[in-house]
Amino acid sequence: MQVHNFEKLWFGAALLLIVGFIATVAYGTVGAGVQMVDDSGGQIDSQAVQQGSTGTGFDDPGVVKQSDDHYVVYVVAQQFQFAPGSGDTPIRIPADTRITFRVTSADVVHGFSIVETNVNTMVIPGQVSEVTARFDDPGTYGLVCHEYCGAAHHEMGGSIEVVPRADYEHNATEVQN
Amino acid sequence: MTVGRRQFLTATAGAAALGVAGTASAQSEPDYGGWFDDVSNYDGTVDRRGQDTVEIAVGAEGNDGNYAFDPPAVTVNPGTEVVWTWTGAGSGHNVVSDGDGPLDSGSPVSESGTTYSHTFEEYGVYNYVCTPHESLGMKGAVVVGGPLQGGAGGEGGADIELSGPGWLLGGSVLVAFFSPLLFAAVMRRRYRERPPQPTDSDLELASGPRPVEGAPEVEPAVEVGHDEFDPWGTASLVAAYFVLIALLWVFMYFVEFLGRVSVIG
Repeated sequence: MQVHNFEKLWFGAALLLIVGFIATVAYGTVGAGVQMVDDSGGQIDSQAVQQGSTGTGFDDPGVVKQSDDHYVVYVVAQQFQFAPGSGDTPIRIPADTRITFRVTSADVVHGFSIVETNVNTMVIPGQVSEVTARFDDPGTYGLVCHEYCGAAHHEMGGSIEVVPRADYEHNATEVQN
Repeated sequence: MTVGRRQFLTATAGAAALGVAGTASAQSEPDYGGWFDDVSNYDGTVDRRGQDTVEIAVGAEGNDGNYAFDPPAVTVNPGTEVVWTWTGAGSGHNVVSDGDGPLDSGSPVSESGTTYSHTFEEYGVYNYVCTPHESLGMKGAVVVGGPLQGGAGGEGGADIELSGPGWLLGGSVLVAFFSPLLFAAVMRRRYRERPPQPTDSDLELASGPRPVEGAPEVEPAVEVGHDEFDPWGTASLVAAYFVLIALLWVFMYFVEFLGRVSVIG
């Protein structure tokens, strides 16, 4: 079979493109450490979440310190707010620290998306969505629900305040006092 | 038979209301300042004066779901205990004063049968909301001590009063809106006054047959044979697109994606 040289060239280039794309994604996972959101968060009774009787951090959601380099943030999403996160209660976390968000829903399916980052997961009642991230730069990040959850879905949002690590310790002790 | 303190208060409050009725009608609604504009089940203020306890349902049907207080607006006497009772519908609700105020039932709960009560002692209008559903119109008000007189000049809302520039603007808009009619009338008048014009068929008869449409066939200047076809131009264009895709890919993945805060576990 006669295949024109230009056609061979085109086949080769197309194959190169595909191999390149796959190599890129492989690098993202192995080299840069980008992970997919999985079911590692485990399951939970959404009724208990609503009543605050789960016996977990969701009963009093907020930031929990695990170690100097690891904080866990418990967030309950419900129609139509994040607790904490919405309104006067932004989530305050330190920069350059491992932050694990454990998010669950008290009623319907919500979304948990931190704007201008790749932190983005569905929040399903009965399931704890667990994502870990590290914020290098201090600043205020927006938080939105990006799964339609009801009449005021468009109002459901919040904010995350990432403060420099040194300042965070200071404020954390202040709160304890 | 003894007359209770509250009954006495009710009687005197009633008398006081009658006394005020000379200036403002006893049935007039308090001026909520647009508070109930987006509350679907608001249908006037319900008069519950003379009752020791007044019950308001939280999570009643309204505002496109179970996002309402029922009744949303009540009038009570001072000293009345108002009890909010949760229906359990429409997810978690709470009762919190709008701005500074005495009401705060805490964070939203959805359990049916939950109650929250407050005894109102001071005269006034107490606006309150359900924090998560305020934007849906889940708002209410408790009026203590009967209808209050409206705010400054609140009664003139229905009459449209235009100033000089207002008339000018309104008039021009109106004239602009109807100007096509005016134009049509003028054109009709002109058409009527014009002498009859020659029609298309008359013109055709005068100038002979219509010219034939379409371009004439032309011999090609150069004819390229199959083997002489040179694809380098096309190939370089494709290569340029390829480079563009590769560049976009690098920026998209390595700058836009990996450059951001990513999920790492």
